[in-house]
Amino acid sequence: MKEKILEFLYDESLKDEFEDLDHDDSLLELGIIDSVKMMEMISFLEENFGIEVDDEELMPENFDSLNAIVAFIESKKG
Amino acid sequence: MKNIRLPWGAWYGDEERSFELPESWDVSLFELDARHRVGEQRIAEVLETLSRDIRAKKPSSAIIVVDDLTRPVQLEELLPKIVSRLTAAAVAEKDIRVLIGLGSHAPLSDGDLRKKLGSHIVDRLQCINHNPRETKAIGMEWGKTEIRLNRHYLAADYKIVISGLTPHSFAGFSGGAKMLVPGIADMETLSKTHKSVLMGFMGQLGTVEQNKFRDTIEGFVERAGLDFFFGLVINPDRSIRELYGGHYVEAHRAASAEAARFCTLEADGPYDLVISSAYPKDTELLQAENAMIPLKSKKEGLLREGGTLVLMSACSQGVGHHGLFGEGGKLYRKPRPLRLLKPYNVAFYVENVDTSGFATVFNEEYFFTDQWSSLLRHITPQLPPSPRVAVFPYGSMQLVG
Repeated sequence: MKEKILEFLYDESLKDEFEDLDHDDSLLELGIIDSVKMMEMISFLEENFGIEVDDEELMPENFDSLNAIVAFIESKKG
Repeated sequence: MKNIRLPWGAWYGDEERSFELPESWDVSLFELDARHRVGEQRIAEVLETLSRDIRAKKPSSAIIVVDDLTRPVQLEELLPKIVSRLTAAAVAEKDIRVLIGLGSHAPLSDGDLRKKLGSHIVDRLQCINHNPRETKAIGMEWGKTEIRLNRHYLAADYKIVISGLTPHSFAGFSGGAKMLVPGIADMETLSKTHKSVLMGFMGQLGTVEQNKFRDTIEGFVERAGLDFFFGLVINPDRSIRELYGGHYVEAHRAASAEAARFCTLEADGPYDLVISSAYPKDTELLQAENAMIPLKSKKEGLLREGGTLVLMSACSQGVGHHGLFGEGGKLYRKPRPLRLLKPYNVAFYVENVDTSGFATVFNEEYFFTDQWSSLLRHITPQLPPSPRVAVFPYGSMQLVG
């Protein structure tokens, strides 16, 4: 799951950030996501992992790191 | 050559500057009519509402939250009138504090406090810069974040907030509940607020209705308490144009509607060149993004694709300070080209900032200078011989409808 998300997020211009990325690092603080990328990522997660993200779940703690995203998807899948 | 005259250096100099443009350029200057001032009768009406509320609640202490110099409203005339209503209701001056709702901006010096509040207030009342470390939980959480607000604010019997309203990228218009969250919050709450916006989860420019950001923070303010809100619609020269007072939601909505009417203009684009000044929010480079408000409010049709955008700011205080976004802040990262600006040629005319300072806030690929002739030499080859030019002298408060 992490590899698939990483592949989606990867941006060649941020090669250094991805090389040093710890899975608890803030994706926002590293510049890996912004508001547009986030909306694209929500669609990507819904399409690829069979989940539906509710409005009230749109919070930084659910999407700001790779580990948070994986934990969120797993919690949705029950 | 033809001249355009622009106000320059809010709070620090306040002068009018002349900038030359080639005679062949077709220039439209978008002014704001700043002649209107709030009348004494209206001020007295709002203050009487305040007095009635104070008499009913009989507080023994009070706190008045105001914004800082990055927000353009001068309180020297209004604030003593508010204080006199409190003292008339038997609240002693020693029990009235003024709290500067800084968020994570730099604390105000004594000189800055006098500019904002006037010496009458600074010499008589205790004026406190908000410190994000001096907070207390309000008993609410936002996701996993415990909401904490300034402890001096929470301790006061009677809570007043005063703020000017200008267009804001995510709060719709500044002021209201935003003065407390993030204005007097701790760093975790500040960070959560900004992250939620930066991730695109909430917030909208120029709209306070159905604005998820505003709805969320108003829920926190309901818990923390706010007795009386003064919403000031301001002129570009920082004088008060209209005044609203009362419940923090109702008064803010009314003030926002008036501010929207005042700040919104029609511009018959697309233009080849848009020149926008951050005045009256031109105190520091970290606030210069406010000059993008006209473009943010009309992303299509104001400036043609491939056109040129010139952003101007006096930056009287240089780069400035922001505890989250400034260099070393939790949300700081090396600036990249802004997505909004990708279709355009971009140039900055900013003073009091060197190359390294500029590169801490904006991507170093953007052209910047403090020499107007150099700016003209740079942008002229990008333009047709007789370009259509839109000039926004008060770009930080001009919405394009």
